[in-house]
Amino acid sequence: MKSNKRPPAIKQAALAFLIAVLFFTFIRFTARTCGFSQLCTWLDQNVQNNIADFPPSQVDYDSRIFLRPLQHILQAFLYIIPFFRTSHLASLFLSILFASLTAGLIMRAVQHVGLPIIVGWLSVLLYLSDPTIIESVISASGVPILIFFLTMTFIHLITWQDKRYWLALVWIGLGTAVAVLTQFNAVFFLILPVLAALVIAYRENPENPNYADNALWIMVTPLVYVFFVRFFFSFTLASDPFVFYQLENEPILVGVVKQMIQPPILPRLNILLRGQLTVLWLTNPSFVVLSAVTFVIALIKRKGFPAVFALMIWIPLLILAFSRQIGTYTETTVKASFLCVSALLIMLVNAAQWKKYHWLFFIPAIILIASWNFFQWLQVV
Amino acid sequence: MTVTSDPFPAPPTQRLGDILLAQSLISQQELQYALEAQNNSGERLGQILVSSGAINRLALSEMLARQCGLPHIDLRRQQVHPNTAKLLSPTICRNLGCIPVRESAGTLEVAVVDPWNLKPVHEHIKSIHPGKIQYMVTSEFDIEWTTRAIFHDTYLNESIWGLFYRNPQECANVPFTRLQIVTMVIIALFFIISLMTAPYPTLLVLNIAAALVYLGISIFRFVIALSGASRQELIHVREDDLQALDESRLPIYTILIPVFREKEVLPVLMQSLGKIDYPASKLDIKLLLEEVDQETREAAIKINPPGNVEFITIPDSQPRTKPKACNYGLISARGKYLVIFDAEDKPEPDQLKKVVCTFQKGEDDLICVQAKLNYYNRNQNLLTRWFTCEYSNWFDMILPGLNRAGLPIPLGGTSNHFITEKLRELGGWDPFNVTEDADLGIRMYKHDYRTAIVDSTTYEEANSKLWNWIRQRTRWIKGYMQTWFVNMRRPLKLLKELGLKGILGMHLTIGGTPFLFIINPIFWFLTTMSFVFDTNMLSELFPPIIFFISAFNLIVGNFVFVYLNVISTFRRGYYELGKYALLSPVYWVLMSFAAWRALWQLISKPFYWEKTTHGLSGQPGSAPDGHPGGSA
Repeated sequence: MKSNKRPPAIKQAALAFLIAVLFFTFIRFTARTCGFSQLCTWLDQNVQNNIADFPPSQVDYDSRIFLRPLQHILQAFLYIIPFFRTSHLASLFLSILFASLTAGLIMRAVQHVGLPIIVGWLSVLLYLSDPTIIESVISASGVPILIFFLTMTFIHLITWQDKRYWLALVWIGLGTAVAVLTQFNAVFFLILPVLAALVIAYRENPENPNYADNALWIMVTPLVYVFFVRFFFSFTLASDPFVFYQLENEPILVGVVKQMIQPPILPRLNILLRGQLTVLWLTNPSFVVLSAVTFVIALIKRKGFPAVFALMIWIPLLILAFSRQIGTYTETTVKASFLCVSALLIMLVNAAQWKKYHWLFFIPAIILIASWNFFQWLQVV
Repeated sequence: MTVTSDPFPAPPTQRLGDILLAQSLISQQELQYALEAQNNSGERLGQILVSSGAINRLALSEMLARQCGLPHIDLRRQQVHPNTAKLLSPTICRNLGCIPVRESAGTLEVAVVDPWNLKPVHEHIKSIHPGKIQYMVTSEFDIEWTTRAIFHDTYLNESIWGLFYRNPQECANVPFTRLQIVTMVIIALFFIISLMTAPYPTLLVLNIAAALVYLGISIFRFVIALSGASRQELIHVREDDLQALDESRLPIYTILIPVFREKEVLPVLMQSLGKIDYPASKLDIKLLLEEVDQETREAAIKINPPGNVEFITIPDSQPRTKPKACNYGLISARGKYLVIFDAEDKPEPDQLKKVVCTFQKGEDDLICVQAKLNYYNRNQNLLTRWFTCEYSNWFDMILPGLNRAGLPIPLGGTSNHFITEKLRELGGWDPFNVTEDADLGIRMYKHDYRTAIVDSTTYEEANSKLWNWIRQRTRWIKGYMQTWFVNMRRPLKLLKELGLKGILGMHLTIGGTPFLFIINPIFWFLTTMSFVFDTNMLSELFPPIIFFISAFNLIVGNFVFVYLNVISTFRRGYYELGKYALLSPVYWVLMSFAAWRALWQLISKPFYWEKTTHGLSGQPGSAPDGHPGGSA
């Protein structure tokens, strides 16, 4: 007899996590030995060229470690165990761990908004099969860590909007803080979700301003604390409160080339609006299509949240891409790796907003993302 | 006085209500009200009239005597022969509601409470006195009072040494056992010698141990608090459950209220008791007054409380503690369930009913239900705001989290509801322990009993004066230390009784709380030193792994504790307190001061009960009407 009982979301999420761990580990450690296909060559090149690391020789086991980004702090901690000191194992371990946690998070979120389990598994499959994600994992960069915390923040914003579940504010606050600890520039991605959550809190209880006030403290306290710790250690140890930012943006990725373009204001806007839109379209059209359609439908149906949500991802993406163009930002993979997850997040927002017709959103979304992944793999292979 | 061969009264010719009306003791409206209440609760008419304050117990017993044609006896005026009274044990006297008064000319005179239910009494009395028996009617309180007077020593002995007689190992009558003292001396000597011969390794080992324990407590608190905050109570009582309760089937509920030099809060207490949504005739309220506290006794008499409130005077003896008073009250508790309230408490009106539902829904091993505690004067000053944040964290997050994890729960000081018989079986409270509630929580767990948390709040008065707060906090932390030492008398036996999970839970809550406050100033000092002097000595004390753990404790641990307080204010709905919770580290300095004071007192004055002065909020009448928001 078929059971109507849905399996607990946490078990499915744990399973998704485990599958992701196995998948990424398999890909990473067989990349150099799996044969002569173009796929393996591509993977191998990434492993060889783009490996990001903070070698044990550079670690200072004193307060100076707090000037480093979270990935380095965690690596330094792992280096205490000799096993992790060789073959970039510490950074790989962290990349695989956090990338897999994101898979579990996606699975859990899909179930929380009430979509069928099959959609959860399809979403995880799409996430795992995105070449930009695989690239960021096997090159052991800090991006998977950042993406995990960004995803966590956005998912809890959806939960807060959907169910007014107050603990979501806590996870938005913690996710924001740790994401910024991982990479200072993530703050661009996080200001808008925090503001959105705050507006929702205010609209929830307009008679009592203390309500929104307290919601703000919950979300902002971790972030302010992270800034305080960063500035405090930077100033105390190096007499410069922004030293941590320089260390964070040192070109740890070997293959990154800074583009030092400093055009006047109008051409800059041109780059921002035309140039970056084109870049985004070429990087991940499925995300662009999904978010644009969502934006239009939300405006027509007068549903503010999906439209705002789409903008919340668009605006920081444009700003980050733009700042990379003008040379203040060197990270290349954040944008691309986050686009697949963003497309899934847009799907979740729509499903939560239009619960009765969620299939109208997830079926085209999954087809679109899958098609783009497939196309990317064709290019790679 | 007529002596009859048949001691049972003839069937009544007049109803009690009519007799009372004829004697102008009650009005027609009062009778009407009582009859309606009787329909709902199924309780006796006389009991209802007494509980509502319409008549007093003496008058009721006189009228009962008249109705059944038996003589009446006022035990406070008539002499009771102690040797005759001792023909029955105090327990039998209380349970059957009777006491042998005297024996003359072969006739045994026995005072009874219920002349219409003489059969069980008669069977018992017959077995000890085959001759003639004369029954006389008296009031329930007179039986209680006389029993206490006759069995004075037994009562006092039981309330002080009851737990010790059952299991001396569970009683804190000595703060440290000989074995514990020897162990501590050996450890201290070893430490001194090690420090003299190898100072750095010794300090390093100490540092490692402290950092690891600190880390364990921080992670434990965070996980437990989030678990407690994220879900509802294990046994959830819905509105439907309350509606489904049949008042006529509700059991008698004993409320113990120990008061000592608290005459200011008595009017508030009576007001709060009056608001409790439970049939008044089924409330057995006992005001526990100390013999030496004449002021409060006089104030209590002046208030003229309803007939379901009984004054019990606790004979003056050492230790003069709240648990001893509670034990004394426990002996004569009539309720199936029993709860402790402090004098200034304002429980939510439906708390007792919610607890009854919780007990009904719980498993057989559930014998205690803890209500949540919070403060009605939270916005009085900064101290009360911090205190409220702390309580919201503890009662709304940590305790439900412990409950959910199946760990021992250190009970709060008040609003603990028990199954009376099980509490007696456990020996009641430890009169020598200054946090007897926390100790009882652990003891229940050791005996395989469980505690549940009920989603109902009792509002108390937060300590608003700094020195008063420090005294109170000193007592609490000292009590936690006492409880830890008492339980650690036989660590292996404890491990067997609590299990690995239970013993870890006990160490991290009962042991961990004082530990954190004691160790904090040391770590704060070391951190400051490292920033001011950047000494090499400190770097030697912090090898990589310890550096990471200590840094985690400093940076993440402290943040976690502050953040939990911020979260707890939101969960409780005290939105205006969020910003004050951010200043909690200042509050921790006060806690650490109290902790060091407690450590000193544990050695110098282990049983000294630092009484908290209540009634400082200046708003005794402005209690919230069961509203969680309370007074702003």
